Amino acid sequence: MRARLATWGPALVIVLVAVLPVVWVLKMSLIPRRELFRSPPTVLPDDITLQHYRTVFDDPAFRQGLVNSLIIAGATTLLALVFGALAAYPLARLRFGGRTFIMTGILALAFFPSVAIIAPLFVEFRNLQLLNSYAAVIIVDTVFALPLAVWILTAFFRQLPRDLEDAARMDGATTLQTFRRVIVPIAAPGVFTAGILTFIFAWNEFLFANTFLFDESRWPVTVVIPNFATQYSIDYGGQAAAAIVVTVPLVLLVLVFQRRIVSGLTAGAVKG
Amino acid sequence: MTSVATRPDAPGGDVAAAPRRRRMTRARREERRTALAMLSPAVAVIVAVAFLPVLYTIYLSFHDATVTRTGGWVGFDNYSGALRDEVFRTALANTVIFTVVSVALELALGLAIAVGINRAFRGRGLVRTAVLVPWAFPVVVSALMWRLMLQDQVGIITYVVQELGITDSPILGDRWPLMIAAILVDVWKTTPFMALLLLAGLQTIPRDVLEAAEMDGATAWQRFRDVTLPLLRPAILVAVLFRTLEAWSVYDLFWVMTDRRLDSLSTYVYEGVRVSQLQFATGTAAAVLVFISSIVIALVFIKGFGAKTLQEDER
Amino acid sequence: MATVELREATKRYRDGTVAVRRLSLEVRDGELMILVGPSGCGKTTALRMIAGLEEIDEGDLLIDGEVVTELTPKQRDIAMVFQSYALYPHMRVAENMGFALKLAGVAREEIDRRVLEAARVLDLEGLLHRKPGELSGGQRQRVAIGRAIVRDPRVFLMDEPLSNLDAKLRVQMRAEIAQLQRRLGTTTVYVTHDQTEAMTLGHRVAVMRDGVLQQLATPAELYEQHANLFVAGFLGSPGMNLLPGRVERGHLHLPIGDVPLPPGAGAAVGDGPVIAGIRPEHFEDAAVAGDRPGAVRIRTRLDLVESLGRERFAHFHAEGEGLDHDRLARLAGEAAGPRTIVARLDAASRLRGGEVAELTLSPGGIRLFDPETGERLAGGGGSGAGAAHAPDAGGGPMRLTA
Ligand SMILES: Nc1ncnc2c1ncn2[C@@H]1O[C@H](COP(=O)(O)OP(=O)(O)OP(=O)(O)O)[C@@H](O)[C@H]1O
Ligand SMILES: [Mg+2]
Repeated sequence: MRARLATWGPALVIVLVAVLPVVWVLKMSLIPRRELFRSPPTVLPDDITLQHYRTVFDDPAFRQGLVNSLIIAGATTLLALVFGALAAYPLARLRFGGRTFIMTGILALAFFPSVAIIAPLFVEFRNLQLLNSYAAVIIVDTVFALPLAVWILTAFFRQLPRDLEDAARMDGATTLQTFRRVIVPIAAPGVFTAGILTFIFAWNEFLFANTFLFDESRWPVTVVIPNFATQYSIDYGGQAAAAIVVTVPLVLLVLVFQRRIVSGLTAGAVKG
Repeated sequence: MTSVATRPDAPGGDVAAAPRRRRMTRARREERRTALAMLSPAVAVIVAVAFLPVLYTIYLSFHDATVTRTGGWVGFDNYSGALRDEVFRTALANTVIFTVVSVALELALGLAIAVGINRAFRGRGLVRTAVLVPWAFPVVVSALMWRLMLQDQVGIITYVVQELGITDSPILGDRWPLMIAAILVDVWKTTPFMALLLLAGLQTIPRDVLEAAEMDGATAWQRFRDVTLPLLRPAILVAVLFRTLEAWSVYDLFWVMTDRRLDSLSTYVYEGVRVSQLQFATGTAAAVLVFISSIVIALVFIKGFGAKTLQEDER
Repeated sequence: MATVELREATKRYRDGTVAVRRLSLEVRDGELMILVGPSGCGKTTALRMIAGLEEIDEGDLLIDGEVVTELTPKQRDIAMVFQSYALYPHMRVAENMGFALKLAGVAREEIDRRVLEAARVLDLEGLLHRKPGELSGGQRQRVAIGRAIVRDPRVFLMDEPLSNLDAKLRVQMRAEIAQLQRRLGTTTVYVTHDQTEAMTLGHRVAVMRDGVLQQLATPAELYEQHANLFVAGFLGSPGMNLLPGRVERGHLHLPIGDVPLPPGAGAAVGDGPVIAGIRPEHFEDAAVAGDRPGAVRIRTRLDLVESLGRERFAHFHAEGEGLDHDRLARLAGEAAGPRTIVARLDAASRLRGGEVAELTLSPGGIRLFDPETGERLAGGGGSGAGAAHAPDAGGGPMRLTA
């Protein structure tokens, strides 16, 4: 018994700390208002209600926010994968001068303070009339998703057997044909992993969306949420429900793809 | 028909010593051209959206700029303006405290968790999934969730804190409780990430090295300090560098968690260039300061501690 | 149909390894040329240089007399079978085989026709819709060959195509490849480190070591007339026994005894130290062999006798000064091997380990090499037959060392 506690103990503590807050907020989102304000608070809900979720989904801004988030995160993922895969392949496999330089430049972006560029981008987007458009946020999100995508994909491309590329060259394929018809199909799992992480990144992005979008109808949920909290400042159940709704897709992604996520996050980090 | 080798020369003979004459074959040229072509979209957007704007920010920071016009050259006025601004100084202090404390806590906890999981592999999968949950949340959502728990009417944490008689005032009101809360949320949210990176590093340490140390009579603590830690150093440096820079530009957490009552460098910049248009120029100067300080931090880690962010295996 | 010629071709890798050194090789039209040698000797590199996958740093490659050194693999019109097969895992067998034609813009129907034809030749018709993951090793192997022949290229290159198959399948595929190559008549360069494959498949065999060509000859010539100690030691299994010797007045003094040299041979070699190479099959149990003309008798204590059913291997050793092992290793490579002497005996032999036995040795099988350079010495028994009928039959009783 003691031994079992010793092996399970640490794991249990970690799991509780990580998950309990979420469970508590979930509980808050499910109990009626009266119970929320009760003191001392109940540990297990007395009563269950979907009332707060109704509040959330009745809010048009919130519904639109989910759609906007999907649009922005989806487009960002797609673009980052295309640009990222195109860049990662030569970085992983081809011979040309300046590889380290370019790789460093791309990865340095991961350490880049975003606020350093919002002023000029704001001015530029205004001049290009892109302010308040999905495009503005998608472009910037894509750029900042690139280091992650390139990093994961490069690590992945490096693992592919070189013989296949040689075989394709013998079959008369150009480098680009080899990439498109042989490498990309085989690297699908890696591309998928990079896609999940990029999606999570873009779904969670706040600063750029908050800067470049001021029309409520364009806001992604991350921007809607704080405003929702201000607007329904004493509807704590509603806020809890909003928090839960936004995280559900993410929790599902994590549960389903945890192995891929971990391998993606630690790709290349363990080498050498 | 037998032809006999004429020169059984030993390795390292004349051919090896011959001057290098690399041929640039057609295939090689095609490869290089394609490589550059494939890289160009990514490089182009990165330069256009990240690197050029930084230069532009620096340019603006020396002008009496507003959102709509660049204005005249003012030298370092914007910088001195920012540095003299009480709000900026508070923001700087907040950011330093937040960064140092949260990264230190995350490293300590992350290391403990990583070592714990690495040792007891029971429930490792479960732990991995569980710790990914806070990591995957948007910062604004984590902030909101913790706000709800810290809320003075319905917050469970406030209730517990008050029952224990630690404090009576609302947590979400004052600077220090707010700071503690922000650090708490950050630690909750990013320790998992730290632990994952460190665990990946730990798993590359060969078991027999530790066993050899054990045979040499090292205690568990000595093994950790003298074997594990030095071997883990590269992984730690990268993880800490990454987290430090992220914490240094903390924005959404302060923005949402504290309801704009606590400033960080990033929220200061944001307020300047986006919210109160009057401080646009000061904001750009602050932005440049954030940028430069980030580079300095990175350089200290890379040059000073020898962090390797990039492991190139050239072929 | 094509000839392939490497002229003084050198490959130096980025880390400075010279993998192929001034290799000159001419493959005739329709020939099946084998590249053989120990691991790491540069066979694959040489093949990839011909393919165009590896740049030729110095020297040239000619196909049909035309310099193609700087051309891409595509322009060279060469097909290659990889050791790993390198089948595209996401494509069906038919797509794998037709990929090159598709890239070349050949019409759909023409591709189908040619793929089907190749599939028929290789007995793959039923598998055309499978993916490589759903095939056995032997079937994958066939697909890899099919992918090469569909293109009807000027040259085939094969890099140890059989090494991933089990022993039985390997023998079968070996025969099939030989047959196929003969039928198609396509010039082929085939890499292997298996000497049986080399000797059975090749029209000619090129033996390489450390990136340097050692000998290029037909299999028969190669077995009889080794250019040097390395080739002698590399071929045959178990390999040739190498003993220090001394030629004096027509006699060869060996640690196991004295052997008379065929008349003329001794003179050709000249007196002095030599290294003598004796193949295990040139020994025999005296009780089984009887009085062979020309054979020399030796008495020795056997350390060990192994029975392999059809034959037996007796191990013994010779006293006295041995060879300078470092030098031998430099000259003969792996064949320098252990210092015991191995004799192949008839299955009928009743000899056992520990016994003192009487063996016969055919002097005609002895090869002599220069102890300094490892090159073969002219007189060391050019052809086995000639020497075996040397008149100095019977020899005298031998001075025994064991
Ligand atoms: N990409 C490379 N970079 C540096 N050295 C290499 C590279 N590829 C091969 N070599 C070296 O070149 C030499 C020849 O290698 P090669 O693969 O041609 O040998 P091989 O004869 O095919 O051996 P095997 O029978 O094991 O396949 C070896 O010493 C090898 O270590
Ligand atoms: Mg090889």
